[in-house]
Amino acid sequence: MDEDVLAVKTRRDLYEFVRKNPGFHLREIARALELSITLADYHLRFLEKHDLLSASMDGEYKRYYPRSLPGDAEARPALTDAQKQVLGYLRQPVPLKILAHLMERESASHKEILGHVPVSPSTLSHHLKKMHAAGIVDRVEGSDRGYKVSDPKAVARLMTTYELATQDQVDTFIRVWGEFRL
Amino acid sequence: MVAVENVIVAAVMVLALTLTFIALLAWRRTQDVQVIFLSLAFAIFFVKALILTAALFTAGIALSTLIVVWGTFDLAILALFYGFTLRR
Amino acid sequence: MSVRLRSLLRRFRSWFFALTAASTLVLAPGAMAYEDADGDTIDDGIELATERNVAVATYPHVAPYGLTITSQSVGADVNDKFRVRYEAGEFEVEYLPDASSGRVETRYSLEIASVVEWVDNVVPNGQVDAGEIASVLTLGDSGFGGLRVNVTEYTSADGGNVDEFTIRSAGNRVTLTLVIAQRFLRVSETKVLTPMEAKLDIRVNHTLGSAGARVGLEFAIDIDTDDEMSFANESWDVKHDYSINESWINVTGGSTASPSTVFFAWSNDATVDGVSARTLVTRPQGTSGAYRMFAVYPASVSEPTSALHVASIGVVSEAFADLIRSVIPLGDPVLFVSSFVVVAATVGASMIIAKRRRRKD
Repeated sequence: MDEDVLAVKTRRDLYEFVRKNPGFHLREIARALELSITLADYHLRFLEKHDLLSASMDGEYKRYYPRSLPGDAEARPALTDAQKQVLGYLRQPVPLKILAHLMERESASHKEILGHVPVSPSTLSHHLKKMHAAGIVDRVEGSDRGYKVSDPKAVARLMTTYELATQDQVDTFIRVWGEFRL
Repeated sequence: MVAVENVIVAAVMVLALTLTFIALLAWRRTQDVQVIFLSLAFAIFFVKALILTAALFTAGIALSTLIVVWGTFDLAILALFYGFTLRR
Repeated sequence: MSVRLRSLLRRFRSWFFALTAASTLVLAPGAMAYEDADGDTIDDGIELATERNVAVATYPHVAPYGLTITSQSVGADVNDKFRVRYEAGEFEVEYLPDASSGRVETRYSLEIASVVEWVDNVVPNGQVDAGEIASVLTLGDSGFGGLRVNVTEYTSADGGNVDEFTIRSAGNRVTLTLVIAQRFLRVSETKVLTPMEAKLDIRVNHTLGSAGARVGLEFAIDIDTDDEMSFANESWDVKHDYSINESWINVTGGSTASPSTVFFAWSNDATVDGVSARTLVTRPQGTSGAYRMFAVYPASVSEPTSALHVASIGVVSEAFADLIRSVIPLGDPVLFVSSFVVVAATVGASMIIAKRRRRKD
């Protein structure tokens, strides 16, 4: 699995764990999920930064708690149209890889993204253009030309809450025929 | 002697139908209207198989007629595939 | 059914219906009505397509004793002809393909040589062994020569022309009835006469001389030395479901790819005393194109023995094969549906296996 997509999956597992087992500290969480402390720490910070988890110090231990939306308990809130659109992209393997890559960093150029996503340049441009038109990614002008995610917190929340691309037969069809262009 | 025509046409039908549905699912998933080209192309494969099945179960269809039918459908399918490659 | 599949089906319900409807509309003509106005169980379309032109001539003009039948196919890509000649107890059957077909002409002659009596005494094994035949009465030219050929012509139930010839041997011991029709003609519950053959009814009326004997006939068959004769327990008509319970000898010339075949077929049973029972027919014996065979009829209690044996003489027509191909569809519903199911199952299985493999990755 692609490392960026793996990161997404790992984060989801962490989020789920904390949701079900609030109050555990870093070492316990890392051990429970068989992750290295460094990796668990990195991802938990990410989740914290995107307001999905909250942490509080308990003596020498930093314990993690889920951050719930108002009226959230176990049920998932109804999705807005914008969220549905983003989810639609997250459910396609190539857009997911692009977004996962962008979520790890402030921004990335077309060339950089190309190094991480196994498609042709024209296909990448096609996807970026579509997501830009949908308002999911923004262009970055200036010396660091490239793209960034418009609303990382919203995307992070969706990534950790919902089932993402499963790479089934239809996705393979889309990927293969996606390359079928002049 | 096994009438192998029956086997072949039946197989074409199944695969054409399967690919038509996969392409339709792909269209719904990507919301990319141009994927309809693909779905249409595979649907035409299916229609072609239907016509051939009809020919199989009626009789007296001349070879020349079959070639015209076959060729026209193939032309339509290939035109759709080619059109798909032209998309932006 | 999984939730996914159910939702999939729901979404494409309209597509399903559209496709099913389209399929039914297109396939409906294929489930064509089978027409058989004259009730001979042969599809009228096939009868019409395979009808032949039959020309009959008897000679001499007054008190004819010989006949020639010429039958020509109509409407095939390459038509063919066959000829049946009779004189003095001997039939000659010739297959005359068109020169452009690349096939050769093949022929045989069949003479009703003699009436025989058979007693299973030398080697009592139910087979005709040497010394068991008492050749009683020579026929051939002495039995049939110069004797009248009676001709009748009539129209069959479906409007086709039928010609019937009757020849009686001296003393009415053997009566031959030859029937040829230009279309398929049902001649009995179990036999349909094809346009490529002539029915030969052989009636034997004979008082037995030897005790425990059975009456029979000896046939003399001559073929070209280039051609090959073979015997089989299933005649062409049986293989193609036009008849049952028939054996044949066929004479084939030409290459294996384009053979020309003429044949003599007969029912495995004969009717004696109104009862149908097994006929003992020997394999043709002989060399260099000259063969002899016997047909021994079932034992009789009455006197004289009265036996009826139904046979036919004809050809395997390539023009017929051509015409039938254009009329009979290639479709086999059982094969089609089972192929569909097998391929669908294979595709379904491949989807499941691929999904499992992906889950493992």
